[in-house]
Parts: sequence; structure tokens; C-alpha cells
Amino acid sequence: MDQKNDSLKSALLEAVSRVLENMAFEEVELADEISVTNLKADGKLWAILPILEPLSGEVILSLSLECARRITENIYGTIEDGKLEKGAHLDALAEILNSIAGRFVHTLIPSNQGFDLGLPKTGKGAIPVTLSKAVTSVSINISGHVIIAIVIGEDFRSFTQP
Amino acid sequence: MFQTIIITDDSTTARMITKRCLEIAGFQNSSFLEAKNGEEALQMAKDNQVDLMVIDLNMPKMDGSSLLKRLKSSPRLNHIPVLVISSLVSEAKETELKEQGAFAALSKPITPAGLSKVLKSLSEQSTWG
Repeated sequence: MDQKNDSLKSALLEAVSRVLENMAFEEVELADEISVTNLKADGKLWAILPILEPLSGEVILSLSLECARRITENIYGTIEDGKLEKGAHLDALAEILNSIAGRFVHTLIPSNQGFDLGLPKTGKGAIPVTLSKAVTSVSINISGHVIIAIVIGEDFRSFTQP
Repeated sequence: MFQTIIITDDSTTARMITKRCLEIAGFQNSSFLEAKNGEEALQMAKDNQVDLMVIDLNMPKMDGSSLLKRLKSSPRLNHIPVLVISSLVSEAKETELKEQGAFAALSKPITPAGLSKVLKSLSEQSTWG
């Protein structure tokens, strides 16, 4: 792996860890790396968020329904005594990805530069992007559940840390 | 202080987290109104006596920047302090938002301590405290 990819991976891992620890109170551990090109849909949930400026690309999360439910119960459980509305886990997943993407891009660009993100989309099954275009990914483990975070976009491939 | 607070975010999860953080930060006796976008928040601000508005930036319909501009250009509403909580907050964005009239901007994910700090600072420097 080259140095640029190391920096990207570190930034992505830092963003994922910080957000999951702060929002969902989950301790994050690195999992055995999973090749994203061989990622199986098998009923997993996904969330995709476009990065618009100054770098163009997408950040993606893939995880099981059980994992999404666990994270959502952690977030909502401390707030509403565990009462979850229908679709709450997808809303929570989108919000987690939104926070991860913000932290990730913030780490990559100079502090005096702004950035822009799109609105998140969520779904179940095959991820509707070409995963062979992934420039980096991290696989993490929270309480036995694996979450994969993926970054797509040629801008990130040529990225050099400021 | 801050008897009525409008929380504006298109995510139910984000609104709940913000509300909970505000409660932990000492505003458990405040009344909270929730809006899913800038249009709803603007209408709520017109219809209620509001002491604080917490707004996200990236929302459908009317986004947070447009809402901030509408609030600050309204003689009836421009006294309401606005706190921005968004994943889009950078130093550059915070400066821009303050120039547009927000009193502070926090990056997601927020913490009760971070929220408490900026609200304490606001109450010390204003007549809202």
C-alpha cells in the first residue's frame, strides 16, 4: 500500500471511530480487511453520501441490519427509553455517515477551506455504485459486527495531505 | 433563559441527539420545537416566541444558510440567536456563518460539553442570559 493510501485510510478510520464512539458509544476495533470488490450484498444495509467540493467522490457504509439496529438502539436508547420508530435505523445510519463524511473531508483539506456534501441515501442489498472504483476502505468491528467504510472518487486517489 | 428552542435538522436522529445534548447541558426545562427543514423552522419562528434556534446546514427545501439569511434579514426575527450544528462546519465555514449572523457553529458529532460551552458564552455576552 502506498503512502497516500495510508493517509486516506487513517483519515477514514479516525472519522469512523470518532463518530461511532461519540454518537453510538461503541468501541471500535479493526477487523480483518475485506476486499470491497468481492463485497456480497446478502441483505446488508448501505448508506451513500456524495462529497461535492473541493474533492469529488462518495463515502459509503455497509453493515448488517442487526448492527444498524444495535447502533440505533444505542443512540435512541439513551434518549427515548428504547422506543424506535419505523425506519429509525436508516435515519441513524444516514446521520452517522453524514458526520463521518464531514470529519473525513475536514481532515483532508486545509483548515481555512470550506467543503460541501450532498444528502445521504440509504438502502438494502446491492450497493448502487461501482465498487471497483474504491480508492480506500476500512473494515471495523463493533461487538462482533463488521462495518465497512468505503471511499470512491479519483480526486481522492491523487490526494496529498495539506 | 432559552425557554423555547427550535431544533432544525432533516434527520430525526440528529434532532434527538441535539435535544438530549441540550437537556444534559442544562436546558431540561426548555420547550423544544422540531423542524425538518428551513421552511418549517421559519414558520415556527414567526408563530412562536423563540429564544434560540439550532440549525443544520444541509437540508432539503430551504437549507440552513438560506434560513440564516432569512432570519437575519427579518426585523421581527433577527434578534433570535442562531447556533449552527452541521457536518459541514470548518474554520472557513464558521467565519462565514458568523459574518452572516450566527453566534457559533459546531461540527457534528456534538457533545453536551461543547454545546454547554458555546451557550454559556452566548448567555454571558448577551441580554438573553
